Order: sequence, then C-alpha cells, then structure tokens
Amino acid sequence: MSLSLLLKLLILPFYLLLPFSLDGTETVQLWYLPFLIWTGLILVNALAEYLRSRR
Amino acid sequence: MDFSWQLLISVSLGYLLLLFLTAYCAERGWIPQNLARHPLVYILALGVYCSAFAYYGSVGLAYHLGYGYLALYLGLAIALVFSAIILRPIHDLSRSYQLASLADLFAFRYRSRWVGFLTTLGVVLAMLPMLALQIQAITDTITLLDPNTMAWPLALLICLILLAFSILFGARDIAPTEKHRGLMFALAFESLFKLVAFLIIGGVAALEVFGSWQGITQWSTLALNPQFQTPPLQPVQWFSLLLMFVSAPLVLPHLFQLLFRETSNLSRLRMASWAMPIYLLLMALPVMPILWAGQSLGSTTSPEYFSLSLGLLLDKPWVTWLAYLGGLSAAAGITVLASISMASMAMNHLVLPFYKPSFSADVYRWLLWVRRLLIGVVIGLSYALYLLLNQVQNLTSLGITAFTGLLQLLPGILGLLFWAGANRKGFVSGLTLGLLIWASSLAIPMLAESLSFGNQLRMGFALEADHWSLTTLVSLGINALAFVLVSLFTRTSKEEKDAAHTCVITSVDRRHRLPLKARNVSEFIETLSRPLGRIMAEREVKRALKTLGFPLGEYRPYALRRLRDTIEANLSGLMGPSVAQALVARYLPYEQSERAERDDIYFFEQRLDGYHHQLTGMAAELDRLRRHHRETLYNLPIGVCSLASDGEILLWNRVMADMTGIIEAEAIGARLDSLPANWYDLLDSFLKGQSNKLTVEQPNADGRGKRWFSLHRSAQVQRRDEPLEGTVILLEDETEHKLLESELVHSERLASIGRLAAGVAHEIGNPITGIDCLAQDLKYVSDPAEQQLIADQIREQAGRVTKIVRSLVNFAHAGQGDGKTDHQPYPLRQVVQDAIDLLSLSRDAQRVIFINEVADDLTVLCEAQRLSQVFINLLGNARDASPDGEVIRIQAEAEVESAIVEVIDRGTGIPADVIDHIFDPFFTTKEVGKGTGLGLFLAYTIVEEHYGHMAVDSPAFAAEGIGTRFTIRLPLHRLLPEVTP
Repeated sequence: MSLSLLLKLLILPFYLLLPFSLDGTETVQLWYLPFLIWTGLILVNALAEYLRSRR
Repeated sequence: MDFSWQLLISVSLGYLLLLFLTAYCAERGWIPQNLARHPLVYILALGVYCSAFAYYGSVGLAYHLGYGYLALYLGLAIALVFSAIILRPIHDLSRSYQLASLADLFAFRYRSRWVGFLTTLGVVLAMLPMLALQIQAITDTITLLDPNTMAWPLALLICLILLAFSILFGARDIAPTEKHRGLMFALAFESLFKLVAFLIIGGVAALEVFGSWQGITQWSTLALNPQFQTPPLQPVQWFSLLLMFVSAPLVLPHLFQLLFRETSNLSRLRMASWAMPIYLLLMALPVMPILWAGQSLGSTTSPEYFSLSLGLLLDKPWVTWLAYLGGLSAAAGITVLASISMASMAMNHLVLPFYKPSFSADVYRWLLWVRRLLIGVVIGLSYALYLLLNQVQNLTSLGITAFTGLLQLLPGILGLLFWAGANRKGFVSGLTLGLLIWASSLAIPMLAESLSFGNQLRMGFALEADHWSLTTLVSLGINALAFVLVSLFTRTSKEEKDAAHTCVITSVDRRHRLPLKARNVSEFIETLSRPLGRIMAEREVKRALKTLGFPLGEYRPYALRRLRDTIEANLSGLMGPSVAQALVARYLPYEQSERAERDDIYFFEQRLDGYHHQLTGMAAELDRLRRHHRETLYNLPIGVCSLASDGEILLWNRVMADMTGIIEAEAIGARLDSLPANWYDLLDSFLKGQSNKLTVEQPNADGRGKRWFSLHRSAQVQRRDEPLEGTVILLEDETEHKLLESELVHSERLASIGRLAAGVAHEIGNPITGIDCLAQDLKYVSDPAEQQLIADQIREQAGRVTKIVRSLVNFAHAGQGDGKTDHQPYPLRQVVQDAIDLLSLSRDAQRVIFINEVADDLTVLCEAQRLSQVFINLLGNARDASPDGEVIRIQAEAEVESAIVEVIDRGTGIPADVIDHIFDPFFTTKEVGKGTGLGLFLAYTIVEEHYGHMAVDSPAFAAEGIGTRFTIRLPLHRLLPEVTP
C-alpha cells in the first residue's frame, strides 16, 4: 500500500467523526475545533496528493 | 430601506446580465487565456455544488442538526479525498467512451437501454425537487423582502432568463467533446461571488452581532441554554446525511458534468481533491456564526434565511443585498448546469432509444435543437413542481428528498466500479425498489403535503421525527440487497461481463481480436451511410480517424477495430451508449468465427501502460518486470516478429523495423499479406515450409546488391487454459557474416589450389615437356605432312595445359568479391565431374578411383563453381580417408522435387564422438597444417544456400564398420531442364 493511500485511510475516521469532536466537552466554547481539525485533514490530504504526484 | 420587488428583480436581472457578459467574454476569448483556463477556474466552478440548498439550507440544517450540517461539505470532501479510487476510474471511462452522464455510464456497463431509461427517470424525478428548491429560494427571498410580491410570475421570468443562458452557453454545439468555457468561467465567477458574500455575512455576524471573537465564544456558551440549543446529532442522522453527500459527485448530474466532462486534464481532478475541500471549508465556516447571530437578534424568519434577515435586523441593506445576490448566484449556477446535463441525459435515454431521427436531414442540427428543447422541458418541469409545491416545503426538506432519491443510484455505481458479477437485472430490481420506497415515503408525501396545506413557510415533515434518515437507510438497504441477490441468482450476459472488465477498477479493459466484416475505411463509410446518411458517416469516420491519428487508407485489422471503438464512443457522446452500441453492433459487425476469442494483446499492453502509474506494491513490481521483458524483447539485436494464427502481426521489434524498413506503427496489427511483397513472400514461404530455420537472400531495397537473412521460428508457448496459437519469427541479418564466409570460401579455394599446386605442376609439366620435345623434333622434320602432325600434337598438348589453367582460374575466382550469387540451371553430373577433374590434378589423384554415377537428366539451380566446391571438399576428405586403390562413388537419384546425392567412400569412417561436430567451423581431425577445419562447414553452408540439406552417416558399411556416406538433398530444377550452361 502506498504512503499516500495510507495517509488518506488514516484521516478517514477523523472525517467521519468530525461533527462529534465537541461531544463530551460539555461546552461549545471550542465551536471552531471541527474546522481546525478539518484544516489539518486538508493539509494531510494535500501532502498525500503531493506524494502521489511524485510517484 | 424598503425592498420593492421591482427593484429586486431589476438588480437580479442586472446580476444575471453580468453573468451573461462574463460567460460571453470568456467564450469570445476576450478574457486572457491564462486567466480563463486557470486551474482555479475549474476548482471554483465546482463550487456550483454549493447551491441555494447549501447557501440557505445549511443554516436550517445547523439549526436542526447542529454540526450535522457539515455532512453537506464533508461528504463531497471525503469523495474527493478518495478521488483516485472513486472518481478517477469514472473520469477515465467517461473520457474513453464519451459517456456524458451517469445514465450513459450505467447503460454502457449494464448494456441495456432500459437501464439508461430507468436511471434517467430516477435522476430527473430526484433532481426536480432540487431545481424547484432553487426557484423557491429566489422567490422566497423576494417574498421575504417584499411581501407584496407575486412570486410565480417572477419565478417564471427568472426561469426564462436561466433557460436562455443555458441554451446560449450550454448547447452551442453537439460535439461530444464540447467544452463550455464561457459557462465554466461564469460558474467560477458565481461561486467566487457567493463564497465572498457568505464569508462577509459570516464576518458581519461575528463582528456586528457579537462584537468580537470572544463575543461568539460567549454566545456559544450561552447557546447551551435550552432555548437555543440544537438537539444532539444522532449517528444515524449523521451517517445518512454523509451517505447522501459522499455520493453527490457521482449522482448529481451537474457535478458529473463538471468533474468528468468539462476537463480532460487529470491534474485538475487531482488538484480538486485538495483545493475543493478548502472552498467547502470556507463555505461551511460562516454557517454557525450566521445561525447564532440570527438567534441572538431574535430573527422571526426561518433559520434558512437568517443570512438575509441579518442585514434587515442590523439595518444594513448592503448585507441584505449581498445575501440576496449570493443566493441568486447559488441558485442560478446549479439550475443552468443541471438543466444542461439532464437534457443531455434525457435525449440519450428518453428520446433517441425510442425515436429515430431522419438522417437524411442535418442530424447534428436536429440533435442540437432537441437538446435545447429538453433544457426547456427540464426547467419547465422544475417550474411546474415549484408551483405544485406552493412554497410550502422548506429548502432542507426539498434538498434531503432530492438527495435521498439520487442516493438510490449508489449501489449501481459501487457495482459498476467494484463488482464484475453485477448485472442489469439486479440493477433494475434494486433501483426500482429503492425509487418506489423513496417516492412512497418521501416524494409523494411531500407533494401531498404541499397540495393540502396553504401558502406558508414552515419546517416540513422531513426533519421531524427523524423520518428521513429511516427512509434513507431502508430504501438504500433494500435497494442494495435486491441488487446483490438478483445479480447473484440471475445470469450475467457476455456483453455485461465484457463491459465489467472495462469498468471494474481491478480489471483491465481486455478486447478480443475479432475480425471485422468491413475491411477498410471505405467500407466503414459505406456501411455506416445506411443508418447515418453519407455526410454524417463520412464525418464520423474521419473524426474517429483524426482522433486516432490513422490515415484514410487504413486497413490494418487492429486499426479498424480501434476505429470501430472510437466511432462507437463518438456516437455514444452524440446519442448515448445504448443507441451507439446497437448501431455499431448492427452495421459494423464482427465476423462469426469458430475460433476461440483471443485477447487483443497490443491493445491490452497499451492499456496496461496507461495504468502503470496507478499501480502500487506487488502489482507495480510485476508491471515493472513486464515492461523490462518487453523492453528486452524490443531491443534485442535480432528481429522479432510475433504472428497470430490468422496472420495478424502482434509484435514487431526495433531491429525488425530497421531491417525491413517497416516501422512498428505500420506493422503492428496488420496482416502478413499486407506487408510489401518481398517481405510477405519471404515470411509467408518460411511459415509454409517445414523447416524451422532458413537462410535466404533478399535484394536490397535500392536494387543494388543483396542481403542475407536467417529466419528461425517457434510456435508460441501454450498457456494453461488456451490452445496453441501463433508463431514467433526471428530474423537475423547475415549479410556481413555471409560476406566473411564468402571470403573464407575463397581462401579455402585458394588453399585447395595450393594443395593442388604440386599435381598441377606435374600435370602441366608433362605436356610442356612434350611440347618441348615436339618443338625440338620440328627442327629436323622437313615433310610438311609430318610438320602438320607435330603441330597438331603441340596444339593438343597446349590445349591440355589451357584446360587445366582455365579450370584452376575458374575455380579460384568463382563467387569472389561482393558475394553475389548467380544461380543457373546446371547438370548435377557436370558439377560432380568438374570436382573430380580438379581433384585429379592432385598428386594423390591416382591413389583412389572416383566413380561418377550421377544421372545425366538431373539438373539443379545452382552456382556451379560454389556447388563444385562442396564435392571437392567431400571427395578430398573421402580420398584422404580411403586406402589406396579404393573406390569412391558419387550416386544421385530424383526423389519427388529433390535430387538425393550420395558420396560414399570405404575409408576409415568418422568416430562417433566427433561426428556431431564435423560441420562446425574450424573443427578438424587432421594434423596441424593439413586442414583448416572449414571444408565441411563451407560445404554445409553452400548446400543450405542452395536450399538443400546435407547429412552424414558413418559407418556407411555397418557390417564391416567402415566408410562414410554424405547425403545431399538439393531441389531439382524441372521447369527448364533443357537449359545448360
């Protein structure tokens, strides 16, 4: 399995559970947390695409 | 500020006019190309996904489901993350086979017009609520801003403008490869506009309502107040939504059009996989601040329109204008693009399979106008549904209803990409059940509710009691189950299996090498003229030839098969795969053949080459190995040609191309009989012969001199499950070798002369002595009669010398120099006798007796001097091996088309351990200095040059254990037996 696919598979659970990222915090003060996580996921995906393009 | 509907409609028209101008300028090339074709334009155009459903509806979704609204954005983002697995194969398929829509794709894979029909019906039924939603969003906002508005005439006006826009920029040409550059640029513009508008509104919400970032945080803490708290998101709701939106790029006709039709550049698809999520993130970001701002300000409008009411509540008209135009922009983009793509789908699957146009007229024009008409029908139906829905349903309900309907296509897509066993019966069963459940539980109740209730804006049934997620999962589950079970227990047709090989991502498109009935391009045009008319047939054939880069005179079977495929693909782009397949299958059929179907190896290799960048792990290593072997074969310093049993050339390597002057592109896929005459004759005669090895001479292409080629062949290796087929031919240029060999022959001949020198001196010495004596006698003879007698004797002796010298000179010079051969009919007996005469000059000649028993009537086509060298060598060896006074016989007889010559001696024979090496060069058993080891090698070579064969048998007299028998088989010359030198 290529590293790019591995990275994509690794970030998939984060995508799937993103709206539940505030569950358990009992607060919505970190309302922007899902967007921060999403930004991180976009960066990882961009890295995976970069690796794929180099192959 | 008061918002009158007149002002609103004027501004709307102004904005749509701006979109018109943008599209027009891009279409005319007035916008710089580096801007108009910038990859960012493509990415922004994909923003059409964020329709009014996203622009307004996502705030409503957030109101009901909290962060569940993110599914709308994350679903597409996930699909794009895995674009290499999900989107890339469909991109390749749609590009290769000119498949313009999902219905085309399904009709192509499941090989049924009814599949295309059902898919189109499902997509149209599911998309109508989505398009009605867009119209409703525009009129809702106008009604909201000016309650005195008459909504339906305004909606009609906007629909007409969008119709004109769609026709002008989306249906200008009928070519399957048509790109809508103007439309794309306008879509990018509107996507950018709505994004900026939404971000500004989000910013206004954050800064104006909450004052600062901390203000939002404080409010979000207050949002825990049950009054404002959204119900917790249930996993079942989340995953139902996610399923809908993950499948969006495949099932939404307008996204399909953008992703797979509007760009052939794969790098853009790759870029979209990381750039588009950024756009989606930015679109998702303002949703919560807008929702909270609306709640904070106590907006009484539906949460879906909080972005609009924000400006009203803050008394900032420009925010309201921005929100309104952003919404208009979002609604307009999807309406235009979806109507274009749905019209194309409807034409291919609802019209053309059931109505055949008259091809005597300009069919392109007919197709174009039908497409325009269908765009009108789609927008008209959307408007009609909008009227029926009566603005009762909220946008979220309409959107979820539409997406649930479209979701029913997901099992079919998964089957198409991942399951070769899926068949049309399973697909039709599953989709029908899924659509029935969707219609009965969502679509029809929604319509019934709209018809029963009055004109009011309220949250509809769908989001209440979680009805929609149950419907989504049940309908999809039953659909998928029926699809799998019916596919498993019903027969899959051969056509479907072949198509599965093309579509399933773990398979490679494997075509069969079947002969076509049409033998050349002209026959293609002739046969296609019957269904398409002459003009269209010519145009389509020429277009396909241009795509493939083939000439008009193309005749190679491989090229004709590709031409057929390309014509089918192009027609598929024009009329859909169902019509194209039926038409091509009927008018460009394959010949019925009893032979087993063979893979089209060259096509297969090309497909593999196209895929190799996608391979990873062991597959990549295996492919590297394959390419290594292929390169090795291709670069072998010997010509390699692989032929199928029907004579089609499957492999033609570099050296083969160099030697023959026929490039690979011309040879591959051609039949042997279409090669230039000299090469066809050479290869064909070799294939028809019995021998697996042959050396032949071939005139040079420029007519000067000749070249020698050595041909070898072997049958293809039998594969486990397939019968033996085809032949591999190796072609080796032996010219240099032959020239060297010729030099060797000449040297050997000179060596023979050297060995004869003593005998020659003796033979010449005797007559010279006689002449000398006669000349002395002449002084003393006065009688004229006696003088005459002596003179005659001198002449006789001189003649004897002349004969010896001439035969020596002839022998020494035969075949020397450029290696040219000149085969002439010559009596075999004379060849043998010439050799005996020459050997008789040797001093040892008297030791053995040569008996020439070759019949007079045997004539061979030969170069006499070279052939006599064979007998000189054989007889010389026989003499050396024979005891004094022994007899050496040369016998010959005719056998069918050959002369069988035997040279038999009663010498010591050849030891068994050396007999296998006697024809090897430089192999000798004689003492050093007495033999070069080339005699028998050259004899063997010369016989082969004469298309003959030489064998040895020792001992010849088995009982006595002595003697050697050389047997030479030479082709007889029977046509002109009377010709003698």
